[in-house]
Amino acid sequence: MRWFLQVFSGQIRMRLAYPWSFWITLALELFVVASINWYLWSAVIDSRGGVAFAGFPLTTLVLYSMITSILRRVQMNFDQFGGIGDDIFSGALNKYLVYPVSYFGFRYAMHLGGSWVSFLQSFLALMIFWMSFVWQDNPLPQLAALTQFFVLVFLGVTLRFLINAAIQTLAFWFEQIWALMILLSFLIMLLGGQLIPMDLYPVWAQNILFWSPFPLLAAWPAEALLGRMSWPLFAQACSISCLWILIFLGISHCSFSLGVRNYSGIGA
Amino acid sequence: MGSIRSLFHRRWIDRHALKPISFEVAPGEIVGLLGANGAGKTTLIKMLAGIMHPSSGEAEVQGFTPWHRKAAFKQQIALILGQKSQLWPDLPAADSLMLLQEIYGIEPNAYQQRLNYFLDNLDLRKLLKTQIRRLSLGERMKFELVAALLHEPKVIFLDEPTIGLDIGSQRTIRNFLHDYRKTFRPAMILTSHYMEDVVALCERLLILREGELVFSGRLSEITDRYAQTRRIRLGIKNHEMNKAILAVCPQAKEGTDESGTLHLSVAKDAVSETILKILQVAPLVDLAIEEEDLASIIDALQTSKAAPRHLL
Repeated sequence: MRWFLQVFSGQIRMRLAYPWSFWITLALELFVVASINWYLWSAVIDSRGGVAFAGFPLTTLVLYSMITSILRRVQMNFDQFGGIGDDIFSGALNKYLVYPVSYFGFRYAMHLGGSWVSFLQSFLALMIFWMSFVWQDNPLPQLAALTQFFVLVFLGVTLRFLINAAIQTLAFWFEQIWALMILLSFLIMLLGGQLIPMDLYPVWAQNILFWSPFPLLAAWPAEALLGRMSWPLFAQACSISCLWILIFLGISHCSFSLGVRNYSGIGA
Repeated sequence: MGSIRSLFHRRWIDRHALKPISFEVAPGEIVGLLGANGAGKTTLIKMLAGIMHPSSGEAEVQGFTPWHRKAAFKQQIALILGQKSQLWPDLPAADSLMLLQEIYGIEPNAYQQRLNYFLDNLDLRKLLKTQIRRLSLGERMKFELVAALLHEPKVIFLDEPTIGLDIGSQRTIRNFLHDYRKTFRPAMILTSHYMEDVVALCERLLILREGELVFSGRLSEITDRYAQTRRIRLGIKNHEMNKAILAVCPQAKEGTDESGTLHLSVAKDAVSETILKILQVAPLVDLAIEEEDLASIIDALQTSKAAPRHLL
């Protein structure tokens, strides 16, 4: 598995070769997300006569939206619209097919490397914001919350890679799959609690979505970092996450094995 | 209208990229795979490298069926695509090569030894730590060769390795491949549109036309078999002699230049007889006998429209 570490570290070095673009877009995104959520939730709370949602004061809602925004960025990586689907469409898959190592393994190492760099930088930015603006209402995360958060982020990054892979391998049949990826992003945003906390969803929706893969990507890690996740719930989240990882691993593997028989390597 | 119609109803056309063909390549041999664009060369290479799955047929490379993509098979092959890179553009070549060392599980000593061989033979040592995207096309192609050959493959597929390169870089790569073959004796299949590559490297040729193998044999056989005529160029001092020559050689044609040169195209068996006849009627100041151009013969073989009847 030394090759896996080489790909992982190579991807990190490649990302760090151009850090400015990441920091500029991150700063802009966080500023926009914080501003929109601040004004939006202020208006909502004002309309309720100044009564905040249970357990979610204004600053917590803003912080939550920033955490989910960062997680979306970490998981999407740069291969959201490229990656496997682009390899198939452009014929870049050819070079990976002649390597005596797993293509998914190679791509996963790249995804992890890219996510790791994004995560470290984004987490640093989040902590700066947290300590500067919202620490009075939201105490800084303790070791337990940080542990839960890191584990769930890792599982979320892996799960998102496999969900993407399952969709992107459809490129063997449909060639262009970016529209499906946009649809997937919207679904995850809507059903995964990336815009508002899951606690604010109707109870029936919460009960259904609890078993779906969507909240595992952002809502639950965000709640863990905010110190709102019990250990039993964390264990449950990890179990559901592992189950979905196995399911999507199976789907993407089958899809790849079937699709690669149709592959013509066009474009190379 | 066609574009709008295709939104609702698409028509699929089945086209055979390759028809049944059969050939073997021995260790240490370089075989040139030629054909016009779309003839099926790259498709054939992709099948043999395990990238494409054929609809029917069998192939064996080093005892493996390529499209089963066994790791042991991949350890023994290399694919070099002149128009695609396997190196990471934003990292120095050294990083990509180290990754390949891990992918192919090359022992550190063997890796260093092989790397030294490539760096010295391709004059790349000073560029090892330069970011790939900052290299010239020729330098990048040399590193592509290193990347592909680092694990000492037994079978090498080269798809237009000199495409787009300047004359000097083309020559360097040709010389390197020539020496590499002599030293390591892999089986190599080369596609190229450059005649210089074919002549310098290939002992045997396979020519494809519309997916069909139309020629398989040694390079020298092409001229022996298909170059049935020779071109004779005659320089004549006195233009008035032209008529006399044309009388003994009715197939001769007057040149378009004003030097009074006559051009004849005669069957290769009749060359000496024709020249003797001409010398009897006219004194010559210049005489040249030329074989038919190899590129023209190959072009005729690989494109049905251009192919003269006697070549097919």
